[in-house]
Parts: sequence; C-alpha cells; structure tokens
Amino acid sequence: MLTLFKLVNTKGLKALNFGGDTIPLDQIDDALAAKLIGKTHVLERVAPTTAPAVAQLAPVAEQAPAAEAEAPSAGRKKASGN
Amino acid sequence: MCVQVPIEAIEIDSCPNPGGLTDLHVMRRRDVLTFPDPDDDNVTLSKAIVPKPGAGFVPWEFATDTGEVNHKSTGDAGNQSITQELNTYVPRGDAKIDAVINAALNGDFIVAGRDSNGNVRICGDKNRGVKFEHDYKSGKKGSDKNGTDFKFSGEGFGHVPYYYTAALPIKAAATVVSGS
Repeated sequence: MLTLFKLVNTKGLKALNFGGDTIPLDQIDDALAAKLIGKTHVLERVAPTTAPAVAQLAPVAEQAPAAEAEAPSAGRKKASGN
Repeated sequence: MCVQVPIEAIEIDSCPNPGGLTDLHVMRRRDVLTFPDPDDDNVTLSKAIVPKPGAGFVPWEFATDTGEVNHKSTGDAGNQSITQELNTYVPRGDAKIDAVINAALNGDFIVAGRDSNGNVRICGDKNRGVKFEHDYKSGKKGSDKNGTDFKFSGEGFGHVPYYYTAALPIKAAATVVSGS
C-alpha cells in the first residue's frame, strides 16, 4: 500500500524491472518505493499537504506552545549528536 | 563532443565471476521519450530511461545459457570506435516468433541484458540504436538445433554498453510487435 508515494505516468506500463526482479506496479509498497524513487519516472513522493495548511490556519496566539514544543526536540538533537 | 575520462589502474576483484545472461528487455528507440545522460564516469546510467506514454520495454525469453553481451573496439588508430552486440538463441520456429521477426526488421532498438553479476547492460543510446539480425535453422537431423539465433548489434559507439542502475519500465502488452 502506497501512502508516502504515488504512482504517476503509468499509462501502458504494467511493471518495473529492478535488480533482476519484475515488480508489478500494484505490488509496490512504501518500502519498495523508497528504494525505487529517483530510479523511475512512475513514482513521486506525496507532498505533505496537511501540515502547512494547519500552520497557516493556526492563530498567532498558538505560536508560543509551538516554540515550547520545539525546545525538547532541539535537546534531543544535541543528545543524538553525542 | 569528446568526453575525457581519467585513466586509472584496472583492479581485479577476487569474488565469483560467472558468465551468462539472464534477462533481456527490448524497446524501439523511437519509443524513448528521455534517454538519460551518463554519470561522470561515462559508463553508468543511474537515471531512468523514460518511454513515451504507452510504450516500454518488453521481455524476450530465450534458451538458458545462450545470451551474451559483447563489445569490442574496431577501426584503425585514430578512427577507433566500439561495436556493441547482444546475442541470444530462441528455440523452436513458430508463427508468433516469426511475427516478431517480421516486425523487427529494419527496427532501431535499445536492448537491456542482465549479466550473471547482476549488471544490467544497455546496448544502444540516445543517438544510435542497435539493429536486429536473425538466423533461423530447422536443423537437418534429430539432434540438430531447431530455432533462431538473434543478434542486436551496432557500430560506431563512443562508449561501451552502459551499466544501467535504475529501474526498467515494462510495457503492459507483452509483445514487441507494434506496427513497423
């Protein structure tokens, strides 16, 4: 099941052959697609449309909690860096 | 355009190195929408060959251990180029195979073969395809071969058959016969 990617330009095509395996287009899942992206013209990443829409609609007053939420993640980044 | 590639030492790998060809895919060059430029090494295609809508590669089956990719340099010093070849043998003579032969005459092809080390080699390129030749023999006696030798070949290339590391798009209708 494809959720992070979508099939495009598939007219007249039934499969991809990669690494000696013929993979029917309807059997490509997210894990396979992540491997194949950039190696074929029939796969595209699904744009994360929901996140920016929420950010645009969010009132200005809610920016403070968002800033707080970012702080711990910054801390985690440092920890992972070590 | 003359592509300059640095000359470096050839290093021999000690891992297994079997011969043989296991996959053959064929497409007409006129059905290619975009043929990618090679990578900086001038021998690897890491981007996909994009066919025109409705077109794509079709698989050709052939007898085991009869497929081979060849390339060799030809011409005198100062006029050298590379000849590319892909050969297979298809056993049996029947109407379906012969219909493909009829349709493939005078065609201009891009063919992909996968060697036993897993390398997909592409014969033909954006500017120059490979032509198709065949030689069918019914055999004279019971122990003779009854089938067709196929050869895709092209001369005058400035490069070896490319190493193709992207995915091949496979056409829905499994036949190479689509007009002439």
